Amino acid sequence: MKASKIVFAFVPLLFLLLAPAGAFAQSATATGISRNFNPAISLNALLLYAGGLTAAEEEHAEGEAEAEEHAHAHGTGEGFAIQETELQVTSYVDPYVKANLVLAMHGTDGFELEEGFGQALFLPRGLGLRAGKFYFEFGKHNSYHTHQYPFVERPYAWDTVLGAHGLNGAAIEATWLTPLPIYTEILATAFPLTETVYGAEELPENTWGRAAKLRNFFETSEHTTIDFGISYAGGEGVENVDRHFFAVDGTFKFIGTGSYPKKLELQGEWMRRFEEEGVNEVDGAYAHALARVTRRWHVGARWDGYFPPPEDHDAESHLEEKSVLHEHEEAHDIHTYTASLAFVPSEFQALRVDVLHRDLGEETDQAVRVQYNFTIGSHPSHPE
Amino acid sequence: MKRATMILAAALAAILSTAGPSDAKLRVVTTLTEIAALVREIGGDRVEVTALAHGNEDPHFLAAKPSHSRRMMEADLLVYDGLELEVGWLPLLIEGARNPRIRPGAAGDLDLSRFIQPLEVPSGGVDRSMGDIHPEGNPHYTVDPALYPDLARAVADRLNELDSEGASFYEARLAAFERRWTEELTEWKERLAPLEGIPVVTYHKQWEYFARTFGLLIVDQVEDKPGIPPTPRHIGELEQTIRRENVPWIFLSDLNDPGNTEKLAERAGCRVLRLPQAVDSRDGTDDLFSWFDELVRVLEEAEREARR
Repeated sequence: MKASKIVFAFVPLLFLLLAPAGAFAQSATATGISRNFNPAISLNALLLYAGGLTAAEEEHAEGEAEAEEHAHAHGTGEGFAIQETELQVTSYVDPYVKANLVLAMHGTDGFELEEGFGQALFLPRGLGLRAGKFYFEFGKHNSYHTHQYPFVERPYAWDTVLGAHGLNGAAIEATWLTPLPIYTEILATAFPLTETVYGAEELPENTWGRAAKLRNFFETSEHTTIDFGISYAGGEGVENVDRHFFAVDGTFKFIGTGSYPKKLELQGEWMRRFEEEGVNEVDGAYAHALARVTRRWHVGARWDGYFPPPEDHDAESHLEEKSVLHEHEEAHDIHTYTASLAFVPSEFQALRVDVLHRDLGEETDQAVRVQYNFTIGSHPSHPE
Repeated sequence: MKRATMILAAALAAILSTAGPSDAKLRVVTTLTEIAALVREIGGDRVEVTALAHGNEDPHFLAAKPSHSRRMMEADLLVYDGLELEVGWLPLLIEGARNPRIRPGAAGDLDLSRFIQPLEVPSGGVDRSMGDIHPEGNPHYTVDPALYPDLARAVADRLNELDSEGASFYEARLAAFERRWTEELTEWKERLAPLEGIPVVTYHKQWEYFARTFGLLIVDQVEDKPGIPPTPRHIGELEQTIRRENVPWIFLSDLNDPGNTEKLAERAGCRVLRLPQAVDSRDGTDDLFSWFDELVRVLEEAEREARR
């Protein structure tokens, strides 16, 4: 039995054990078809124009059919593409569990289950539990869905080191919002190891990875907040080699007054992946500033860096997992600078233009990304 | 790994064995400042109340902060406006709070809109081409002082239910509030009697309930669709309406951006009147009485000025 199957078998059992008696009594339904209990459904679509590639485009022209296929699937090849269509379905299962499903279609290749989990509603004292498949709470950027990315693309290191789909998989997550006066949240996750974390398919059976995060949040004034987190993920893998991921993130926000307040967000995140102390150490980092300057206009700027070990054979295995622009096999530092302008006519749609400059050491890349996104259906809640 | 499991088990045992809140006060979280003020009127010293929104924050677009969830985690009661006013952020905060006492349907969940008759409930189907429309009706009812006796009764009933030892305390405070409120409301109505039948334009569909109680006639809005900036064509038509109907004022809350509305008022020959939209939206509006006093004062002065 595969480890992921064990998780899914475990979920209903867990809720059975924890739910109070009487939870499963079913009353007879009236005849006829009722729509009263349909789940809340929303759909988000991202349309992308990618262009202006230089160095990467030349390499792309030389071949790499696999990379092209992948880039196409992720809507990141040159030209117009449907980048992603995301369908979200949410409902209470009963008084004890809430279910959330996110189906994503990259390009036009059919929907895949991006997230699908049940969340316990009955736990007291700030405790939370969810089980299923989801983005792990690791740093900030890993848990963003594509339409939540602050810029059109993920930072280079997040795309390469964490893989095209990030740290996402079947898992069980327990959280505790502690009663401390300062917002302090502790998260612990257990997950069967899959290629998600390793980029390797041949893994020993029934090996489990673990992840944890500590998050603090401070309201520093009526208008400003600071958010801080440290995260870990990892586990034992191929030939008993442990692989570890660490991340530290910090966010400062200013929100003004009025119906359409001016906003400023400064965010930084640093991430490291390594196998043993100093072996196959890869660092990634980004820092961005985002501002809402008027009711409908937003601007942003980001630097992100990718720092592989001198001889990074390991990182090369990940290169297949990347968009055309990322296809550089030399192991050297990569710096990317992105400037962004967004027009947001309402909370349900946005048009964004990103200009990227990528410094690959001996050569540089320039690219432009124009993204249009809209959301229809049930009113989505949006975190700050 | 074994040590980590033991530490985790010890921590869980510690949480589960701790006693509940040490003070006996009922902890109440509200979305709006005026709802917090109402709960204070009824709950007095037996409750500890915090509002999530500040008086000068737009309740449609409140930033859902983790610290809000933290406050809600320990709450015994959550009181909110409802009619989907808080739909963009409250569900997320309730989830983040991980507190079964205040989840929808629990005893600690109080949606005040259930105790009023909503205005402007769309009769046909709704969709987003109509702007930020609220399918269950106009949610801006807390600006109507005539509704407060019913809202106060709903709050008192729920406090009684959650804290039966305080029942006589809450009933006494409710009776005192109702007495004082009835007196004040009579006075506010007298002071604003000259406003009856006066046509006004508002920026957002925010003053419908207030206008009903004081007899004002709202003839149009600056936003032709709620939450959507007006088109130049609508502004042109509005200018004609203001002239034709002899509208003296455009009501703007302290939250609305005066920019284009000031220009419209200038062209159309009327005045922009800024009104405090919530408790604590201005200095000296820190409870329900002082807030409505300020609202009445602004309108009374404007009316006197218009007569001169």
